[in-house]
Amino acid sequence: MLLFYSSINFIYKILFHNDYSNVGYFFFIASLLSFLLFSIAFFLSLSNIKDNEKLSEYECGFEPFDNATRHPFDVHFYVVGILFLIFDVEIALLFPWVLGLRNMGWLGVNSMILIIVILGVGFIYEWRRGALVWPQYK
Amino acid sequence: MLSFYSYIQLNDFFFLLPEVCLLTSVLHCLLSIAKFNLQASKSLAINKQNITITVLKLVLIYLQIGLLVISLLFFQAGMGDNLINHDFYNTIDDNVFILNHHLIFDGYSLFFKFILLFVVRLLLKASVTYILNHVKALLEFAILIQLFIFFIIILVSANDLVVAFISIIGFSLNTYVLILTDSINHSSREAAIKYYYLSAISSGLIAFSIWLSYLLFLSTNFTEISWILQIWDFTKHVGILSVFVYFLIFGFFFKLAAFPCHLWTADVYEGSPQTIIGLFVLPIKIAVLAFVFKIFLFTFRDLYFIWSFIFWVSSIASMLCGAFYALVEKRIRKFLAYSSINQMGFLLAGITCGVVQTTEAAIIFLNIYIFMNLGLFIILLNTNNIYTNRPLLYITDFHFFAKNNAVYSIAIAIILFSMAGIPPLAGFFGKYFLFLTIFTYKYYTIVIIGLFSSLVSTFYYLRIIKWLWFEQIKTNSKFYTSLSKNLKFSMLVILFILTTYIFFINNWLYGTFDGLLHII
Repeated sequence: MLLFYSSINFIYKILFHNDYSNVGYFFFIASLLSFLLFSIAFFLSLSNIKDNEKLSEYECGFEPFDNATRHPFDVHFYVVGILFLIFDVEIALLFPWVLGLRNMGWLGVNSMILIIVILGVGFIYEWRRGALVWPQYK
Repeated sequence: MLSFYSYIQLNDFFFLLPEVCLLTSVLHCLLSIAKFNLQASKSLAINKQNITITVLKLVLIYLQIGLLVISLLFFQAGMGDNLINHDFYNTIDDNVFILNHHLIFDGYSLFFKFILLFVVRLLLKASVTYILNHVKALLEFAILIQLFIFFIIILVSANDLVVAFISIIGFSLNTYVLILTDSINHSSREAAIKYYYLSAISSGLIAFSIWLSYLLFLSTNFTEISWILQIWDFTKHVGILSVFVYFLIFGFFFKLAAFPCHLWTADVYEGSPQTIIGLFVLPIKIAVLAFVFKIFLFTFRDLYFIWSFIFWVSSIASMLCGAFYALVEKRIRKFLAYSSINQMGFLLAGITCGVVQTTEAAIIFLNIYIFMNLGLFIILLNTNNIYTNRPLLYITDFHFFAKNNAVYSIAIAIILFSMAGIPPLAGFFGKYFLFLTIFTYKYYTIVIIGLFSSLVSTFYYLRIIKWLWFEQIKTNSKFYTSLSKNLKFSMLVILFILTTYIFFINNWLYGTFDGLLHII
């Protein structure tokens, strides 16, 4: 009992009585929330219904319940995925940039304009090159 | 006296003008491809040729602009006056740190940027016909090369391990794709995969050394590391320091193709297009060598007792390896690989002593190496079989080459004599200065083995010259060289430098390279 109490106390001290206690709160709340959501989904979802849509192949040609190795696949899905990912990364860069903009001044603004121009030119290029047009197999 | 920087308030981007120029050129070329409607055109093959030519022309123009910008920066910073006074490098007393001490702007980096742009421009100009005839994925070829130069230029002026790492990753990423432009060729795919895996390992080594650097110095910045090494008593931490230095060195040896990491060269050179071999032999080695010379002579100078042995072993072994592998080699591309390994041994011999003078001699040798290889590549890129349009692949293809191309055979002979180190030519003086300075610092083993290996290497250079002139088989040579007017002129300039180098030694060249590295 004493061991249990002391270990709880130890974890409490590490997580919440610290310079980094914010991280501890964040960790605690995030794990609680994810546990909650997962358990709700686990108990309340109608997982026993075998839907035809659910069992059919994905659009990219992969089986939903199978090991995903050694199957032929269309590369074009991955091209689109990578092209999407670049703009995703751009968003991930934009949010912290907004927060730090006051300290960075015009250098920060110009750098971000440069990055967006580069991405835009790349987007125009891939558009015109035909990377976004779905290939039609006949 | 006021210096240039003290009275003009400038943005960091002013010093990055060459890089900005290259980046805008990449964007401009992408847009110029996007201008054409690639889906609509029925005759795609003809259209592709036209687009390739326009993009190549654009890239060449932008490289010219980049060269102009670099020379303007030279003269703006007051380095131009001292070019005339034979005091080229001593002028840059105020090194400018740009982008929060991540990059450095000084004469050394600017000089190597100029050389890199010059070399790549000449290579691209020489390989226009080669690209149109042999390279399959045409459109983006020149753009990828332009991106490659953009990244490699950053390596020369990097003042931070992370920046150097990013630039190495950047230019390797372009080379993986560029090797594959010949992807119908089976060995090309093999080459690309091999180079991809091995350079991933080498980048991993460098990344690990970055982590160790942060662990040891709490910084990856070279200026901070050199301060810390001067103050810090590191005698108790020699083990972890040597691990750090070894990882860094072996990461760079992969890129340089020096001894323990040289085994990829033959296969990769065999599979890749001739232009890309040019990129492997010239710009990558120039930039990485410039970077290695700078950091090991100045940042890690106090760790000399750790790194000198590695360089010693690598230099000796790569001299011997290159010499003996190339003896039995029948393919020209593999032959080029082994001869470049051999010369990499000479170049690394300069840094082994850890002294400025020997490194200067190595840089003089590097400059001569650039001219010799450029001349050879200009001819190799423009020589084709008249019937099958095949480029030169085997050494036997040279048989009685002189019957059809007497002038070009003379040029090849001069270049190969220079590589072998026959006295009146430039290559001899490169080796002479190098071994003389190393000899004065009492590294006798390296000198003796270097002379021995250059003796061995003379054999295979002379064998090619024998094939060129004296190997008479009844059938005539089917290979013809044809150079455009500009290329003929630049070939002439290269041959002029190689043959008359002896007259420039005291006056101009040796004078300018004297005191090359004192300023950093």
